[in-house]
Amino acid sequence: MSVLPIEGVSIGQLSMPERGVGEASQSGPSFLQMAGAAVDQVNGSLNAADASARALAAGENISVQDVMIAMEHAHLQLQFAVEVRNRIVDAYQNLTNMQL
Amino acid sequence: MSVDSILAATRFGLEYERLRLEAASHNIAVANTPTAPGRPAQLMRAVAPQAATFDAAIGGLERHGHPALIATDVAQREVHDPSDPAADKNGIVSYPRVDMVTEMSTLVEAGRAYEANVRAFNTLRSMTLHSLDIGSGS
Amino acid sequence: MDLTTEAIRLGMNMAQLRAEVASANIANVDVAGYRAQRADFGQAIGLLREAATDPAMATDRLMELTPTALRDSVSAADSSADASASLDNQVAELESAGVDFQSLTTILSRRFALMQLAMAGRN
Repeated sequence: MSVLPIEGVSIGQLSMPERGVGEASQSGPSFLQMAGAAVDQVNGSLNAADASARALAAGENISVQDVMIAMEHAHLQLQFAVEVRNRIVDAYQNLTNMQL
Repeated sequence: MSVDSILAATRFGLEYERLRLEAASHNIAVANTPTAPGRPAQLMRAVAPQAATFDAAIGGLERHGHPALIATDVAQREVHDPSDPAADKNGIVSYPRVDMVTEMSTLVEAGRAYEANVRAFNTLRSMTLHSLDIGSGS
Repeated sequence: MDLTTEAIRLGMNMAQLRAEVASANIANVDVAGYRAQRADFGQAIGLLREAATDPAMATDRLMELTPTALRDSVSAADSSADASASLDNQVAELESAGVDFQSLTTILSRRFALMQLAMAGRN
C-alpha cells in the first residue's frame, strides 16, 4: 500500500457541469434582475405620485382624485415591496439559525 | 388650483343670476319714475359673454369673462298730465315701458337658478372632500 | 425638505392667504368706501409650475417665498372690479380656498406616511 501525496485542489478544477449552466440560463431572469426591476417600478410610481402632487399645487389641469389614486398606487407598491423584503429577511434568518 | 376650475363655472352662474336679480329689481323700482324730457328711458339688463367652447365655459370668470349690468334704451309709455312737474312742453310725462310680468318672473326664476347654483357649488365641494378619502382605509 | 414638500407647503400658504383675504373682504362688506383686497400670486404660481415640470429644480427658490414675502401679493383691488368683490363671490372664494387647503393637507400627510413606511419597513 502506497500513500499518495495530497495535492491541493485548485478552484480552476471545479466547474459546473455544462448542461446545468445551460438550463439555469434558460429558466428566465435572475432573482437580482427581478428585484431590480421591482425596485425601479416602486421608484417610478413614487416619482409619479410626487409629480402629480406638485402639478396639483401649481394649479395644473389635474384633479384631486388623480393625485389620491397615484399616491395610493405608490403606497400599495411600496407596501408590497416592503413585505417581500421582510419575508426574504425572515427566510434568511431562518436559514442562518439552522443548526447544522 | 384645479379645484378652483371645478368651482369657477358655478361662481360664474352665481354672479350672473345675482345680476339678473338686481336688474329685475331695479327695473321694477323705476317703473313709475318719469324720465327727463327729451332723454331716452333706460332699463338695466344683465349680459354675459358667450363661451365659445366647453373649456372656456368651465374656465371660470377669468376665461369666460365677467357678466355685467348694462343700461339699455327702451320704449316709453306716455301719460298726459300737464300738472306733473316732470311733464314736457306738451304736458306729456314719459315713463320707461316696463313689462311687469317679465320682470317679476325673472325675479322668481333668477332666485331659483341662484339656489341651484349654490346647491351645485356645495355638491362639487363635498365631492372633492370625499375624494380625499381615497386610500385611507389602510 | 424635498421639492414636493416645499411645493405643497407653498400651495398651502397661498390657500391660507386667499382665505384670509376673503374673510377680510366679507367682514368689511358693509363698510362705506372699503376697497376689496385681492391676492396676485403670479410669481408663486410661476415657481410652482416650474417645479411641476422640473423635478431637479432648486428647493431654495420655493423656500424664499416665506409667508411674510407672500403677503406682499395682497393689495387693494381697483374699483372697476366691483362686481367680483360681492359677498357671495367672497364666500365662494373662502370655501374654495378651504377645499384647496384640505386637499393639500391630506396629500402631505399621505406623503409623510409613505416616507415613514419606506424608512421603518413595517407599518
